[in-house]
Formats: sequence, structure tokens, C-alpha cells
Amino acid sequence: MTACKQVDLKTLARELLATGKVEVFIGYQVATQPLMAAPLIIHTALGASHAQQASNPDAERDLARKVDALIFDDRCEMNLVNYLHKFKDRKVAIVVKGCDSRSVVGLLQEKQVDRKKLIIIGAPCRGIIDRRQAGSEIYTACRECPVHNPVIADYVIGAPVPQPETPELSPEVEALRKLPAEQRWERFHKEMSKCILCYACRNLCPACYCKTCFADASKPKWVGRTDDPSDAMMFHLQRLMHLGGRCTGCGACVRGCPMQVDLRLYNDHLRSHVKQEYGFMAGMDEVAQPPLAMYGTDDCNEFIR
Amino acid sequence: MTREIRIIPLTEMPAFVGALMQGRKVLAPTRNDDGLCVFAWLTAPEQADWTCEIPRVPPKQALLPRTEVLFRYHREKGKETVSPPPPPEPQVVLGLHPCDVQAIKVFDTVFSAEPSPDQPYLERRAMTTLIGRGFSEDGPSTPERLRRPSPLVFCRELGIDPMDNRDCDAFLVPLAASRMALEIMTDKGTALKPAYERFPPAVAEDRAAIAEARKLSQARITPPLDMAAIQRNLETIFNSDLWNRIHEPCVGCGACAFLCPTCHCFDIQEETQGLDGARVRVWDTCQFDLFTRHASGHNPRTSQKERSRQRIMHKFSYGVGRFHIPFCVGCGRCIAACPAHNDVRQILKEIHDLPRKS
Amino acid sequence: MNEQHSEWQPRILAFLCNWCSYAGADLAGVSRLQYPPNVRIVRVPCSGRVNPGYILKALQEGVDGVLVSGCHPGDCHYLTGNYHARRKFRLLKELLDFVGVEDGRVQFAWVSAAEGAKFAQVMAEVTEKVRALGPNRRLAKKIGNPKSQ
Repeated sequence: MTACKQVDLKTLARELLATGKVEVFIGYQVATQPLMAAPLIIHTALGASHAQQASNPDAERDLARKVDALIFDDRCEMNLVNYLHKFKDRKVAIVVKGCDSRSVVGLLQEKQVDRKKLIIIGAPCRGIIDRRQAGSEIYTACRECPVHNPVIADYVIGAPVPQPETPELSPEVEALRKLPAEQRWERFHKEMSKCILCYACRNLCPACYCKTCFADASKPKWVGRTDDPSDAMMFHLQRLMHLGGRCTGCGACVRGCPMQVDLRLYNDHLRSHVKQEYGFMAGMDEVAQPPLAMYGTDDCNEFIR
Repeated sequence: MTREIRIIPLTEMPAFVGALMQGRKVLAPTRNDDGLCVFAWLTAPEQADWTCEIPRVPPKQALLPRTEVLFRYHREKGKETVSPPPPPEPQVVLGLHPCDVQAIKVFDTVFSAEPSPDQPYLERRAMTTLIGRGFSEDGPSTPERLRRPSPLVFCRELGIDPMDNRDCDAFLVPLAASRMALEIMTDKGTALKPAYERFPPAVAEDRAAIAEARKLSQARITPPLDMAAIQRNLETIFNSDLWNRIHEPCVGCGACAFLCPTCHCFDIQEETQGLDGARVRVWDTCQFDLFTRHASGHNPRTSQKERSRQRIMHKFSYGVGRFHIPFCVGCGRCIAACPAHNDVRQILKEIHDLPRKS
Repeated sequence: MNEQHSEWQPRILAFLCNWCSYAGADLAGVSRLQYPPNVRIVRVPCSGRVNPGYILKALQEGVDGVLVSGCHPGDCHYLTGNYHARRKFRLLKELLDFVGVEDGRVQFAWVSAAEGAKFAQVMAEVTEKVRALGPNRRLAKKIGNPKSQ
């Protein structure tokens, strides 16, 4: 991690918004549901300049109230980087965990955000509490996370946390790989049968930003909307392909899925393939070329007749 | 009007459910492999799970399946043959929370509305028997879990009583000593006699316990949500700045709509293979860009702002204006399922508290 | 059932690049080489043009096997199209294998314009492999097909 100042979240937000350094601040607040955090998007008074804003006590109070509501802790599960697409032309500050910071790097790499207009506030993170479990267990993606500290940041809130040893490949994926094809198919079929095609996974994914997704194409229609599992399979297989070499493994898709489809298995498998084959980890280096945008003359040719 | 009451011990519920499954499809709360409560078609009586309160997946699939074949067709040598789908089978929806029953009332209202009542829906509805289930926070029979109502359920704020058996054909009330009282209210309920006749009728003590539970539940009804004020305000704020803020955290997925018991928008699509095909009705949602995209490519709802507004407007203004019934029953599913943790209660509060325009 | 099975003929969709493999098919034809009639050809500008979505969609629509064939590495009319394709198809193959789609449903080949004999041989091999797998039931969509109801 680049050396940068440790700061207090609220003080920093107040300062960035008050001085007009940013127009939008994207962080977390306590959700209305127990044990959860929701996104909090704070604007400087709508469209007004700094001077005008100061003269409006209502707006100032509202702003102060929102800044006071900012939090960061082990409930902050959402990957906020997804919201950067909504504020493309604005000066934005965003709170990112280790995993989320890799999504920022991915977007920088793909030239989707302007670094000059972006202030990255890194939040070292020990893992997010899995709200589906009763205890204080953290999510699987967090347990296997190799970047508990952000890889890119302008400011950091809190001291760096120790990085535990993580397996090269998720044990669950490894176990699944060893099963016969028949059983792997059964598992895939089971996961896909849960999907209701709400597209929450796609809409939560910072790497999914196509202006018109293939799933939304209607001339011709690529993805059907029936409950025939093949429709969910078409959607997920194509999305998995699009994310090959780009998925950072933040787990936003899994955490956000209302039906608990375990997409992580499949993304993890492809991620480990890309790492093994091309030595590439998505979202670690903003000037690196994604492997699926390149080729090698000595790439594996064995599977081709 | 309750016609008769039978008492079924919880241990005997599988036998009752098994009897219901004779010649009928039964949709009931179950726990899937992930431990998530969902309404699902039973393949075995033991699958019905009485510890589920508000299952994540609503029971609407019984009446508006995710995919419904309207008809099939075949084309050969310039000749088309069209065949209707098989007629709907008798079905029971078991263990409905009264808010889900209210949601089915919304469906009934919308799908029977003139000038174009929805025939496939009405046919399926006629074959459906609803067995509701009461939830009471008070009384000796109430499990600890239910003493505190789920923090996301706000049906009481919309005037729905979780012990209300109206609009059901039969209704289950949990009683002390791990028993359920089965109240029979309609002809469709009486038709289930072969399934329940082996269970003993309620004695005076049981009747008193049921009445007491109802009384306590009714005492809790204090609708703090002024729906009339909300609707009045909605009529004036179509162009308000409020929508700019409300839509911002929304990621635009369809989780809320697909898991909403009252959302009923659908799309009609063709599923073809070679010379065969089916015209199918599938779920759709106003949260998708494709929902309003015209054939020309023009889209009148260009951003999430318009789509989020449509969702609130349809539920709390258009529905009320046209059918005098809000398209929300306070089940809290959308709050639980929202990946951005948006809370419709907060949005309603904001709309309610808007300063009145003179 | 067995009787039906013996009558069953696999349907295979082949995406052939315009510059090499399609010309290879042409050469096989004018050389009067025989190959199984189970293959339907779609001519594409380059193997790099083949979106993995095309392959998946073909399987969903009910074909029993898909073949993608292009120019040999280094011979691409567009210089690097087939190199890009190779990476992409490797990823697709990894994914399909992992989810449990039978090995051989989707196959790849390099066939040049001069390889009429190889083209006929590849078609025969691909057809036999798919025949051995039996009908594609996993990814095929059932709802529009009255026979699968």
C-alpha cells in the first residue's frame, strides 16, 4: 500500500465537502436493518458553489447530519465502487475496503474513471460479518481475501491490519474441481435453478458497466427470461466470460444475491485459471494489461485440433 | 364467518399436509438447502416448515408463475396449429401470512378489472384454495422468536392484522402445547374435509384462546402511516427533487419487484425452437431499462430516477387511485432482499413528512 | 427408447473463418472428399469474431455440438484474430469443463485453405465425438420444444 496519511473519516469528509475538493462523497451509514450498513451518498448542496452553500443554513445542517452518520466497520459489505459509474463527470471521494480498492484499480485500468477527479479513502478491513450466519463469522470471500489493506488510497482511515495467510485457491472450489463432471453439473444446475434473473449480481458488480448489457439486448434477444434453468445459465455463463481476468473476487455479487446463488465458485475458478495461466491478478496494477485483452504466440494450443 | 374449527397437533401436520397433497399441488413455506425460507411446491409433506415467518420468496408463483405457457404452436407447410396449455390443476397455498393474503387480494383486483379480465389468472385462481396462518406476538403459545415481530415487517402500519382470517378459505392459528387450530371459512375450505375430518373439533377452551389471541393482536393495530396523506403528497411531487435522492443508492436490479407479493407486471415473449414454439408470460419489472424501451429504441424512462419513482408511484398512488387499495402489504421482503439496503418505510416517511403545499 | 436413440443423428454447428477453414471446406468439396452430413456451417470473418455467446446460444437452441475453426496460428488474415480467439476459447473451455458440460460438446480446430483432407477428417472426428456423447440435454432449452415437455 502506498504510504499515506491516516485520518478520521468524518473530519476528512467534512473537510473535502466544505472546501469543494469533492462534490460527492460515497461512504456507509447504519442501515435500517439490524447488523447492516447501507450506502450513504453525500452531495455538496445541489449544484451550488461552496459560497452559496455556506449561506444556506438548512443545507449546511443537512450536510453536517449526513457527515455525522458516516461509519466504517465490519458491517460495510457493499462494494461502493459500483456507484462511481453514476458520478462519472463529478469530483468524487469514495470509501474502499481492500477488495473494493482492487475494483477501483480495475476501473482505472479500463479507463472508466478519471483518477484526477477521484479521492480514494482506504479502509483496512478484517472481513465483513456474514449476516446470513448467526454468529460473528466473516464471509468466505473475506476469509480468503488476499488484500485486507487497500492497494490504492489517498487517505487511510485506521491502522493497517495484519494480512492472514490465504489459500491459493478456495478449498471449496478445489473440492468441486475434483468431483466428476456429472456432480459438478448437478451443483451448477442447483445454483442456476435458484436464480430469479433479477440481475442484482450484475448491477452490483463494479466491472459490469456495459451501456447495454447483452442480457438487456432485445434485437436479437440473447437471454430469455423464463424459469427454464438454461436461461439463467446463459446469463451467468456469458457474464462469467465477460469477467474472466477482470473479476477481483470482492464477493459483492454473492453478498447481494437475494437467492444466495453461489457465483463465487465459478468466478474463483476462472480467476485462479487466469492467475495460473497468465500470472495475472485483476485490480492490482493500474497500468497492467488485462490478459483477455492480449494474447501470447505461445499460449496453450493443446485443446485445438 | 368461521364454520368449524379443528385442532391439529404440530406432530400431525405432515399427515394433514400429506392429505392435502392428494390430488392437489401444495405451495408452502419451506427451507431450501441454504436454509433460506421460500414458498415452494411440496414434493413431500414434511417439507412444509412452520418456523418460517415471511419466506423470502412470496407465494405469488401459485397464481402468477414465473413462466406461464399461454399457448403452444406448430407450423408446417404453411399451416399453423395452436394448442392451449393443459387446464390448471387444483392447488392449495398453505401457510400464508395475512399480508400475503392481502397481496392476493391486490392480484384479484387487478386481474379481474374490466375491461380486460385476465382469463388464465382467473381460471387458476378458481382452482386455488388459500390456507392462511396467523402470527401472534402475545399469548402462551407464541414462540420466543415471534414475541418480537420481525423488524422488517410493517403490515400493521398498513392496517393489516397478522391474525386476520378474512379472504382465506381456511386459517391456521398457533395454539399452546404445539397445536394448530384450523378454522374453516368457505366452501373451498369445507371441501378439504377429507384432509381434516380425522382431527378433533376445538373445545370451548381453544375457542377462547383463539379469541384472546385475536383480541391482543387487534389491540396492536395502530396504523401510524397516513396513506391518504402519502397519496395526496405523491400527486404533487412527480417533478420533485426528492426522486433525485431516493434513486441514488438503488442499483436498478429487480430483486424488490420479483420478491414482492403484489408486483404483478409481466412480459409476453415467444420461445421458439424450429417449427415449434410457445407464447409465454414471464415476470418483468419497472426497474429494468427494457421494461419501457420502445421498438424504436426510445425509452421514456431513461434513468433509475424515473424507474424508482414509478415503483413508489405505482404502489402508493396509481394503485390507490384506480383500485382504492395500496399495492404494498408491508411484508418487508423488499427491504430484506435489497442489496443496497434501501428501505421503503424510510421513503414513505419522507414522502409523508413533506411540507404541505398551500 | 433405444430404437429412437439409434435413429438419432447429432446436429453440429460449425463456425468457420472466411479465409482458411471455409476455404478448406470448399476444397474438401471440390476434391469430392466425403464427410458426415451432420455439420451445418456458419461462415464468419475470423475465429476471433466468434463471441462465446454464439457458442452458448447454439447449445441452448438445441444443437448437440459446436465447432469453431480458424486459420493456423500465425496465418490469421487479420494477423492476431485467432490468437485472441485462442485465449478466449481456453477460458470458455475451462468454464464449461468446470460447470460440468461434457468434454467434446464444444471443439476447436485450425484448418487452412489447403487442408481439404484435414477438414473432412476433423468433421468426421467431431461428429463421432459428439455422437458418442449423445444428445445435448444439459444446456438445451426445453420450454419451446414440445418434445421435452
